[in-house]
Amino acid sequence: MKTGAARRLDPEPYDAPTPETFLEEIRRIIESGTLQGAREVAAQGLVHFPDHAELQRLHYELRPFEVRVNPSFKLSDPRPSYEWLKKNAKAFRGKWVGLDKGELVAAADTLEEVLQALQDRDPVDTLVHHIH
Amino acid sequence: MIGTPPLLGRDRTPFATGLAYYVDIDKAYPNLDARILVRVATSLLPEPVLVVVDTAAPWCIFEPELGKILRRTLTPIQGRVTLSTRLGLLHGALYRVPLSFSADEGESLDLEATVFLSPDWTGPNFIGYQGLLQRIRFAVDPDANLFYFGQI
Repeated sequence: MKTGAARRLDPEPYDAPTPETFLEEIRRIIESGTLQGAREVAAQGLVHFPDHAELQRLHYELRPFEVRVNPSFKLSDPRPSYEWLKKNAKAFRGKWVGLDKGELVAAADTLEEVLQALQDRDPVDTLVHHIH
Repeated sequence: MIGTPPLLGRDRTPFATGLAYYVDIDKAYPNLDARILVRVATSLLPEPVLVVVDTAAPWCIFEPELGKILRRTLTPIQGRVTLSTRLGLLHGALYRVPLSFSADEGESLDLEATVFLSPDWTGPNFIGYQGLLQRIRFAVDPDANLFYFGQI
């Protein structure tokens, strides 16, 4: 037998997993742009290290994401504010704008200034946007 | 469910349960391919904001000034996350953020998004595929500027 083939048949050296093994795998999954499988890795880690605080936290944070219908939540018709943006966006580039049913309430360099100007308005009618 | 759903699926069951008007501000975003801006709200921000719908983006991204407010009440799922964007590599953290789509017709939707926050991001707000869109049904009617959405 050639040595190359023999090496391939050798068992991989076994390293006992540590909490960091699982945390590193979760980090790798997230860095790849998904969460798929990350919770399962946290669950596997907790089998080995049930009291590990960071694995417990990640297992909780990666719980299934909820989506539910909410018939009681309604904002007002956004079209007047959209029309304002279409007509005026060019003139307000770089600004934060606060609109109320299509009326400009504030335009400023910072979000904070716009939120202050809108604080007495009903958020059902308002819209905040940063025009790039 | 109240009334007729705005959009039926192939098997005649509801595909989308709500629809919202969107805006496309071509002149304001000359460098972006995606121009579907929909309104979202969250209990963590005092006012609704516009977000670009982008199926090519992995996570949702919010502008740093909005991120400052969100971070006051949230703890990251994962700190030190790197994201490759058209503006280069960004370093930030991932958060779980409750969002709502308000239906202009039909029923609104509450959901949880995975949001990447980075102080270095200089683009607009995005909702991405892994971070939100893959958890709902959605469809777009560019002729009427309508964004349809529904629970899977």
